[in-house]
Amino acid sequence: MQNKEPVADVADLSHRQLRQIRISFPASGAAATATLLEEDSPNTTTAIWDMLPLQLRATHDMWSGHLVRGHLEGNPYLSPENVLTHIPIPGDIFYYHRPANYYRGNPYGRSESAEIGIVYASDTRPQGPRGPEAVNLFAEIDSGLDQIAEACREILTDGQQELVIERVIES
Amino acid sequence: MTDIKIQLGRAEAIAKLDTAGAPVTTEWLLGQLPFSDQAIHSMENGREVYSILDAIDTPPPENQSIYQAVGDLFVYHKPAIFVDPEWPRHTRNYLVVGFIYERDSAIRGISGPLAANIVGTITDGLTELAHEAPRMRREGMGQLSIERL
Repeated sequence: MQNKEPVADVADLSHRQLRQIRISFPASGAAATATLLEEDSPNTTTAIWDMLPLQLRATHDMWSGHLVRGHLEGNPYLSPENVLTHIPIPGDIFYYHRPANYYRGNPYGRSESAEIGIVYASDTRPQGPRGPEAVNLFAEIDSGLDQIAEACREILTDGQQELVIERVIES
Repeated sequence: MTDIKIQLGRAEAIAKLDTAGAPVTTEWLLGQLPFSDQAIHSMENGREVYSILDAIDTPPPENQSIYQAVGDLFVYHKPAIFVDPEWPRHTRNYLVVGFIYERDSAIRGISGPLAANIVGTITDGLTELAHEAPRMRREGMGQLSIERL
């Protein structure tokens, strides 16, 4: 996609344990736990794990369906990995990056952005004004999806919400 | 041409209804006015704002296009999944009235482009709508009101 250096090298999984993250919206109290897909996306899971805890502003997507996104400060670039090329399922959590001037439209199209996306219901596909987008699928929600889905849906009408992502089980 | 006033939160705009191109839809929409309800930002079409119409009768396909332009005011049946987080048990779609406030937006269905009845064009205040819609998207969506002038 572009020439930036990825922030993580190939991860050493020899000591791997199941790692989970907690996703929550403090304003509503909604929370869920998700398991990192370390075998499928070792670099992405390692890089995201190292960023935790994260406090993001979650915004509802306007092109993809039932999906909220939170912008990662500093736009860390991660190489394509475990790329989701078709329809995600509710509970999928992904990383997405676009370089500056990737698509038309100011200000979003002109701005480089790295984001974490959460799919909270079906009939969803990560996409933008230039069509479907490849994203790194790195985690799946195990429990609490109903709470998260309700909180995500409220963002559509109530506006942005603080989204917290933090470690649950440390390896 | 018949003028209507569109109010989205703090922004006001004027639209001209296309009485020649969409006579039935125009007449039908005028019959729904004045209208005021929750404004919703699209989750699937880009820069679209709409409200759900609670109408018993619906206009037939008329003056339809899948190539909606900025400032187009339209009426169409939006798939219910793009309104509700799950498919409602007895509803496949909702009749909505909406508009597009910025380029690179298009009405879509589950499997591709979706034609909408283009019932009018916003002729004044589009810039205000294009500022208000993103603000509401960040801070919370307010009301969409439409009335005849």
